[in-house]
Amino acid sequence: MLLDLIKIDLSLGLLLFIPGYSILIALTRAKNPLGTLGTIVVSMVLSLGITNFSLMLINRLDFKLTPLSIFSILIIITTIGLILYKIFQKEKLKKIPASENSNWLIFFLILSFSIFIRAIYLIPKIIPHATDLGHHMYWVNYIIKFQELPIYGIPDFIIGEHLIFGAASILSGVGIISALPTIILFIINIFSLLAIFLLTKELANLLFTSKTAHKIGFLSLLSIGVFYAIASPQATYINGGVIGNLMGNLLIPTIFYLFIKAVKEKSSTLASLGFFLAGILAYTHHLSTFIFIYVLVGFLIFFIFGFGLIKLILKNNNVEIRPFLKIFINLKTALTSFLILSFVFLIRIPSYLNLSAIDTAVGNPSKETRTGLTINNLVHSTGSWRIFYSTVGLIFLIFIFWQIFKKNSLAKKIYSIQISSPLKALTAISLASAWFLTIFTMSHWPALLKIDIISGRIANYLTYPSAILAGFGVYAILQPIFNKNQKIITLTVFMIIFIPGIISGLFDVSESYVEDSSKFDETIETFKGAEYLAVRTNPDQKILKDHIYLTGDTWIKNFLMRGYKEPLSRTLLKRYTDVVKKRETCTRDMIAIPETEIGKKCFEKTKIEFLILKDGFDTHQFETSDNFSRIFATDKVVIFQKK
Amino acid sequence: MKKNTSIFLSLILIFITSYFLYYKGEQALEKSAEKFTVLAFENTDLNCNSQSLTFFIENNLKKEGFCQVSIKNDNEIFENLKISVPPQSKKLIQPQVKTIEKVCNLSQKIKYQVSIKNETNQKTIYKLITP
Repeated sequence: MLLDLIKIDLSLGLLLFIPGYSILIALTRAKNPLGTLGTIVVSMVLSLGITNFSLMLINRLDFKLTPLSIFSILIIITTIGLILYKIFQKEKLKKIPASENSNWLIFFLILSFSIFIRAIYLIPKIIPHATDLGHHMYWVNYIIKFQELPIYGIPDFIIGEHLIFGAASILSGVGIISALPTIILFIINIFSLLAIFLLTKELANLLFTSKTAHKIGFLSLLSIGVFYAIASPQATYINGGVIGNLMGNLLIPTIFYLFIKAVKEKSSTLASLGFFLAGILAYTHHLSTFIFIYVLVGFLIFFIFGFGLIKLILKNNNVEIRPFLKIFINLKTALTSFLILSFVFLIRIPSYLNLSAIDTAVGNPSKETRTGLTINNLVHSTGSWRIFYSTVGLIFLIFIFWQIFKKNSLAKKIYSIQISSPLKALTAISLASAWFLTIFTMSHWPALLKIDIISGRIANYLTYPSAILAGFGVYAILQPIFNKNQKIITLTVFMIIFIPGIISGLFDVSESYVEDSSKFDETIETFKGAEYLAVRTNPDQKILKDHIYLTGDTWIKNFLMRGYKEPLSRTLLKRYTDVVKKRETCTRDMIAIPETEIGKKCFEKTKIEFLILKDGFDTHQFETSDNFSRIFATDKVVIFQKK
Repeated sequence: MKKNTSIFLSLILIFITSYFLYYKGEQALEKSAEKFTVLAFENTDLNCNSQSLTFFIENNLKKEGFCQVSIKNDNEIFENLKISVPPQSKKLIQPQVKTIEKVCNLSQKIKYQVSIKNETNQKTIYKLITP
């Protein structure tokens, strides 16, 4: 066990920090403006991308993905980074001015509590069992077993979702039937909280004093980390193995963080890094990429509108957009874009980049689930406390925008508003507002934006921008009262704000303990059944499993490794009556009515010989039949063989 | 608290929690494997006599790592049926009492109803039908 932990530690260190850090310091050299936390978060995300691209490159060059090849390429990249850093480091590292130390205890406490809530939710469910994770782990297992990257043939999976798990497993020697996938997702989720904290702080820094920006950052961290910590897209997604969303929610805020930093520091290097991370996003998750593009378009609309207003009202010719554009359109960003495009054309095309997949996502909503969520649904999915304060935050940001046009006002004094540049302020306001409003529109009025994707999936992306806005919203209400320094009123308002937050935001934590976690133990019995089938059957003998009642059934394919669609599965009954997509019914009938003519014909057609089911759930017909033998049994899982 | 101390402690906490999750995962996988009984038979070619059944059960039970198998004599055919399977090192639970029943139906099809019963779980977990 200890050896495993050391191996995991070293592997994750190499995969999720070292190469990214080396490249980051080589690129920024003495001018790294990211600070300690920013450097750690960006290094982690950068490493994730470097690992992904390195593995794709190894595979393209027809080398096997072995511990040696992965280790070697990452060490080579790290060494190159360090050499470049040493060569080009002409001046000593600039010391970044130390920020206020007093507030960092609050940061530690909020983050600790965020970690604690997630850990206590995950521990009872730590046995790998989730449906989505089982599907994803098949492809990870493919990489581990065959030491090469899979060709999916379906747009549902993207290579970036699987590479880090495959690399971690190959390097550490720890298999996927362990807590390793959950640990990686847990780390990704915690780093996404840190990315939100950093981004909020930077956005606020463009509008307020540094001290105020810290406060807003902490409020935002509280909103994303502690409140609604179990609900999707947080701990539930870690446990459920919703890899793409979790990675998307780490990459998107980190990209925006780098863009904002690039604007603030006028650094085209940071903008290029943002472009590079956008490339990683495209190789990781289609929906996140799709949303990212929409948010960027939304941002541009907001920004252009705001820029027009500033020009019109201020009549100031000094407000120039050209230097601003130079940060994003220059040789470095062009080279980065070229590098990513070369990868797409020469190394590997993301599996969803085809006309039919794009056509499925764009257009008028084709199903009821894609016609948009009601406001109530959105409030429920994002969290009532969070959505309320994010609305306040949105109004507050419009109010701040108005302050750009005022030289001196009471509000500027009360809220410690400090706008160094109207365009930078506009960038911060446009990004926070457009991110929230674009996703809100995409999930509430998808027809307006010609989106044909399940609205609930898009709505999950509202959590992160609303957490940022909630930070601004709470500050907007608290600050004037804190400013007056009347202790009783301050305490009362503080409680009025946070008690509903604690009740609403921690409700899902208390609710999750009612859930019976013993059912997850059944997964082990499914694994034993799968092991039995893997050993005692050959690939020609077809197997049918029951997805409705069997726990952890999607993991069976990881034991068999006979193709993604093996074994066949009886899915949820409602899916057999889908009017849009007509599907076969044999998988249902062979379990529900095996002794009827329909059932018998299905057995003949599909050549199913073995059925793995949950004992007592649709098993009676097999128990009493002379045509089936029960050949394997545990307390909860049975396998029948057709005679 | 200083900024770097806070960040350092946060990272330590993330790693400790990850280790703890891994440890709990391994522990849960091991514990759960001990909680249940598994019995699997691959040979379905049986005759209704004690000798073949003895061989059949012994052979399969050995594979699954059971030991101390005792059989309740519900039927005269199995009167002298005693099976002794040497203990093996597998981690599967070792049931204390097992009952094997034989049922011959009217159409002369032979059904063996093998019940594995232990102290905590009184369930029939295996059925094999032979023509």
